[in-house]
Amino acid sequence: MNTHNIFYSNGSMITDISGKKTKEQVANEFSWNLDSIQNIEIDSTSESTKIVDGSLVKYNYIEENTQMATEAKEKKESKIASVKDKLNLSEEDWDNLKEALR
Amino acid sequence: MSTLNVDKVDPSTGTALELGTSGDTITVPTGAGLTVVDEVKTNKVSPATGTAFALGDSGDTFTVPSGATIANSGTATGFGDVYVSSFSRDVSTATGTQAVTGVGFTPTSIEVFAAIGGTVKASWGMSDGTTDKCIYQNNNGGTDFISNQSQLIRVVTVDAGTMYSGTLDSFDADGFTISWTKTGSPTGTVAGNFIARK
Repeated sequence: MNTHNIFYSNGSMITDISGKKTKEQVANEFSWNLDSIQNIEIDSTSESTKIVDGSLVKYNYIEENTQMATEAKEKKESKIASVKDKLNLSEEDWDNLKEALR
Repeated sequence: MSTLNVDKVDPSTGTALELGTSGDTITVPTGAGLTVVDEVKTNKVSPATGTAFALGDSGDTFTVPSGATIANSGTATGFGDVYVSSFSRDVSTATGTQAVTGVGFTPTSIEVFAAIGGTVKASWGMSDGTTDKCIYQNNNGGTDFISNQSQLIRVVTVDAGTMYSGTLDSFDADGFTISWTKTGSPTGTVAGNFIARK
């Protein structure tokens, strides 16, 4: 685990890669209002943070990126299948078309 | 005080020669130089007066040999330093700043290699605090790369109308700050691996 401390206030984010800084330290270092600071600890090898309804939340970005990539791939394959179906293309036809358009 | 005028002092026997006794102070006065052609062994070197101490003259070269280190335990500047770590950013986040702190020094340059995992969306950038440049993957699914002359990071998720880009806002006392700009509605999380130097 590689701990990072994430701080958020009024649209600005701070990533403390030492994982040791406190809200008080951050408020002092960056002249932020202490009361406005949200703070969350993450394992930077797999987690990131985002703002949801004004709140700082953490999530597994590896899983989310993988899921997005899978969905994009499925969407692309679905579109290809639809085109092949409409044009009544065989796999060979499709490969030839792709090569011709390259 | 008596004066001893000799051209050379040698050990009376063997090869060991001792100068003075514990508690003594041996002074080489102003204007007189002390030349040691070979090795000097001592546990400490300090200024003769005041707090300033100069090592050598302009043009001199001092070499730290392989296996030897210089530990900077204080706040001395001028020593090269380097730090490698990472940060991440949800690219659907609105335009804003992200400070990266905890580096341990004020960098003078950084390089950032960034990508959205599982995709071809990637960027390789650098900054010296004045100029940002990067190479980025042109678009989602494309195979070409483009050189950018004004941004540290540029992640194109669909096309030029849907991307997330960052410029170096500042080098800070303990890290640096990136100024992010969101264009369109990009999605995903960009992970940036960086090396900071001073």
